[in-house]
Amino acid sequence: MEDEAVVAAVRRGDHDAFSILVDRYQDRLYTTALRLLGSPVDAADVVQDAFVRAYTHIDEIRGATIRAWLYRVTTNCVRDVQRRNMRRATVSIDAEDNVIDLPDPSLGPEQSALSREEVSAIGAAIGELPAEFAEVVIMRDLNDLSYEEISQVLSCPVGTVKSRLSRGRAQLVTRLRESSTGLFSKSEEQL
Amino acid sequence: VSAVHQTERFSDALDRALTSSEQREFDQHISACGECAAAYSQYRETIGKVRSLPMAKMPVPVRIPADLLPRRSWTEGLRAYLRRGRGVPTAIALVAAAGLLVVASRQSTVNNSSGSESALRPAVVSPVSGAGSGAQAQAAGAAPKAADIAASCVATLLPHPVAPPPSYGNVVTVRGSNGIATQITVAAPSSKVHAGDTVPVFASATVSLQSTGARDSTPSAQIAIGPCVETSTPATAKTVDGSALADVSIPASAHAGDKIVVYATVPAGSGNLATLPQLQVMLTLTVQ
Repeated sequence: MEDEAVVAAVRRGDHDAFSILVDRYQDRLYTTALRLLGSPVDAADVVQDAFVRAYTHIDEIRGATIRAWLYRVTTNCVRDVQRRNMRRATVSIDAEDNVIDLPDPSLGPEQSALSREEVSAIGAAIGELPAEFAEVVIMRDLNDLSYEEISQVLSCPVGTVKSRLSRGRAQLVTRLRESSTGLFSKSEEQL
Repeated sequence: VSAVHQTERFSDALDRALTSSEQREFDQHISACGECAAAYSQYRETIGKVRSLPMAKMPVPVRIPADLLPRRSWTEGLRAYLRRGRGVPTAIALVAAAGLLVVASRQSTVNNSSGSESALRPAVVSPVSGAGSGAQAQAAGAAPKAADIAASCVATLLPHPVAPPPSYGNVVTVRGSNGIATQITVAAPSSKVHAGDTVPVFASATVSLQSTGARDSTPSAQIAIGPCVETSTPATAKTVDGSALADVSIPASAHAGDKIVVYATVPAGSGNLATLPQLQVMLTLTVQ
């Protein structure tokens, strides 16, 4: 069932149909939030909030696909968390030296064609990007949103999306090339 | 052939977003410029790897607060589910899951008074403090059975790590690094209590993760978990509004010298961490 048909069904009163949207997008939205926030707990909260807002306002969604709308709400929730985290003085628990190299258990390396080191290096490099670049890179390259959809999500012109994407990708390639992992070594002839 | 290097067009070229004339100019330059060809090749390879990053799994089920959902019988819900062609076996599983949700909801009602928001999160449970529980039948100081805890305790995720109040002087912390870096703390204002007291007890656990989605390398993610709080006989414990605090009630009939053991427990596998072992720490209160 296409997204539009699901939304129409929910609007007609078939509220179970909403679970189709949840099944379809929860992992993508969670991945987006996790890559932007770095915190599994915050990311899960963001996705929960996004779906509750979508459910509550599904009759009011106009001018954008439900997919773009969900990403927009998720992105806005992520920004709220980032602002809150900057303000909040969290109490640090001493982790001492016993932190081990454990990937997020929800990111199964067996699901990826990449090595564990490559996944880790790329994740770290995305995390180092300025937020406005990371957003578009994640939406385009991890979630396969079109320029037009990203434009709807961020409420900015397509030209801005293309510009941010170009700069974000360039920074990402440079960071990975210069990372100490050696996984993305320089080609012999670099510009 | 354009003499200008084409790096500014790599992104659009990768997405096939160049106009036909731009694409022609780009192709001509790449075929004539070894530097741009090598750089574009590496660019495509790197972005290709970014695109093949694995998708993360949402670790907790999305829940719509019950007060937002229309009221109807479970048979209506089951019919609607079957109408969408998901099959009988899945529907049976759905009914079983619905039963679990009812349990979670009831636990939430008992232990979490934060209103409709409580339906959004796993319920905080003070699992075996009710009348007739197995743990209450145990002798003072005896550790509750792990199986009893696992059967009744749902440790909850906390929004962020928290530390015990500075004024709490009776603090026990256990750290572990057996596979996953963990820390569990239980604390009370004092080790001395009196019959009839209600003693606030802090309990919190953290699990440190080197998340692949993190911005920093050490530690990139910490999951904070509110443990279940239990007591040996004769006291009872309950969590307070889903926080890391529990109230332990010392019975008026307790005698001077009685020792009450408070257990903070995180069951194995909590927080969707399959390799997380059971965490437990105990604190002793002595009746004056």
